[in-house]
Amino acid sequence: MTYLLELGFDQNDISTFQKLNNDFIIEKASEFKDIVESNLKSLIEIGVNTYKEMFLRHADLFLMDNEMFKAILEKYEISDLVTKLNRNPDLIEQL
Amino acid sequence: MALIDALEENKIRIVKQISNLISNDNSIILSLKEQITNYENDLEDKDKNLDEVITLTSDLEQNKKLLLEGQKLIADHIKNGGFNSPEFEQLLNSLEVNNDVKSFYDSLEEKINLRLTEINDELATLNNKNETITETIRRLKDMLSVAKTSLTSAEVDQAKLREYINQSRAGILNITPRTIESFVKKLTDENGAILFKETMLTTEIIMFYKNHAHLTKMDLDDGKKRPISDVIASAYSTLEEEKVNAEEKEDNELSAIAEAEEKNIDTGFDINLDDDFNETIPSIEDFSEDFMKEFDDVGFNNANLTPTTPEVETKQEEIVQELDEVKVPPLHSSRLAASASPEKIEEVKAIHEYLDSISVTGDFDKDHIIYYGATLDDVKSRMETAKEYGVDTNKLSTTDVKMLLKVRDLKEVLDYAVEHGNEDYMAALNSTTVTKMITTTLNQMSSDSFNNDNANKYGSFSEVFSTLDTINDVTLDPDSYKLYTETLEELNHYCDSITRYAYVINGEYISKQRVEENVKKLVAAKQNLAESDLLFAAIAYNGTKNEKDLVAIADKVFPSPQIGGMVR
Repeated sequence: MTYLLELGFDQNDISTFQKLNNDFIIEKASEFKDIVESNLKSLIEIGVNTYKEMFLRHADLFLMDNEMFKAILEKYEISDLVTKLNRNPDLIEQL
Repeated sequence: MALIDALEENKIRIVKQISNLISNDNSIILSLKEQITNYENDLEDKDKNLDEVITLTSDLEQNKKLLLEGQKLIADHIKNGGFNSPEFEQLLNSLEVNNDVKSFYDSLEEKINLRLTEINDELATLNNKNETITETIRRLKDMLSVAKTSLTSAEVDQAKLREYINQSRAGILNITPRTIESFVKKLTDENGAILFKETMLTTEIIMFYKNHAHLTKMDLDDGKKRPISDVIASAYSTLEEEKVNAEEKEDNELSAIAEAEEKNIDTGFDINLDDDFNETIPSIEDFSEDFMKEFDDVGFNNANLTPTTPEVETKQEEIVQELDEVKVPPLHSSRLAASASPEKIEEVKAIHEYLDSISVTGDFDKDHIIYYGATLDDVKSRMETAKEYGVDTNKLSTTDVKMLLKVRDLKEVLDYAVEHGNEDYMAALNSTTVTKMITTTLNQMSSDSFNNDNANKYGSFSEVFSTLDTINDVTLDPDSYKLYTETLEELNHYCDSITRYAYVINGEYISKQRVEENVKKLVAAKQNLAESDLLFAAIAYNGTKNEKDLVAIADKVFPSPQIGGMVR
């Protein structure tokens, strides 16, 4: 999971991620790190600053193919979406 | 004679005078004649000039018209980018202008362009100011409206609060959890900020919207971007309509049932559980049939065909190789799903069937990724655990199941939910979703960063806790079993059919399952603790209460002067 360190996570975040999530999520997040990475970058690029909280609690969503992930985000007005996600990162679960 | 001479002289003098007068008159007449001639000449000149003036005026009018047209054309052509149009060339020709005039117009165009730019800039500035002022006014109006609404709402809430206080004093307080929830969400701090943000309500509404997409007016997949606030508004609207419809339907059904009971007839409100509401998903068998048909079509499977040529043999070998390599097609299009083994794909199908069998609602495909990681046993065991904690597994959505699956330690999360921040866990379960409850709990847990190392927190019990850490399988001898059942019997006073998964002692919610397991481990380990210490340790181990609460709880169940070496 060290690739997360390059995306603004620290060791505590990684440790929390491992404590919160089931083993199979952690395994898949390592196996498909390029997908996770591109999805995290998609959020960072549009200005979502709560991406770490989102990943810690909803890591499974970050295993989705990047095209699909972006298509979900693009259903909404980006500025409106970013505001809402920054206020409530758990909203990602319902998009 | 003298008289005649005098008369003659007078006559001569008069004639002279007359001659002089005539001569003068002639001069005058001649002068006048000359003047008249001059006037006539002047008049003639004037007539000529008048004609010229008329001609010139006409010319000027024509030129003015042409100039106006030219001005219009210049303006149009400035808008359209210049003077290169045929119309302008035509205009220049009609004015018989030379290159100097064209240069003049070029310079004019430049000046007009410059001025137009200045005017446009000024207009833009004014428009911006206008928009700013309009926006400010709109915002102020909105703020005023919100303030008015808040004031009205606050007055209503104040009245309700007074009513609740009076009811509470009179011992007749009757208030539902939903009312409390709606009341609490309106509370603000001294700066006017909402104390309990309705962020989770937003997620709930979005989820409602997604689950009721067939009822809402908007299609999220139609390619149009829309604010979440619109989605929420639409969901609210549908929710309200649905509520009204449901109430009307309920009223109608109740009336019909009452009427039917009176008349002793069949109401016709039976629900047919055999109805198939799911789309048919192509099965692996379907795929295999298609493949075998193709296989038959090339004749290889035909018993009458005898391979005789090398070409036929090569073709057959290719087909055999293809048949060996054929994989079960992935059920989903994601990369993660595509990487799954045939066995895993079969298991995902089995999970889907299981969730269908227990009437889990929602879009299985949307959350499919989680099922390529979890096993069917994981799903079943998590559902059992959820049941133990009072979750109604007949009302779950696929998102709820996903939440149950993805957390590392579901029991820990549910214990945390029971004991931490959920004053009325049962009410929370009934009024919200499992997804919301678990998300909220994970949120709290990640904020707390698991800083509940009880071995360090409760120093005098650190040795006891380190023993419990090593116990996995618990076997109770008769004496231990007696102590175990006696302790639980004492505790049973603090839980009822409503809070069956939590002991509620001194207003504190404690996970029944966690405490029962801990009591069992403690008595099996022969710790020989006093009853109050036993209870203290059982509640403290992997729990979230502070020492003060733990002492109060233990003292309530087993009153004693001292607990765990700590003076109360």
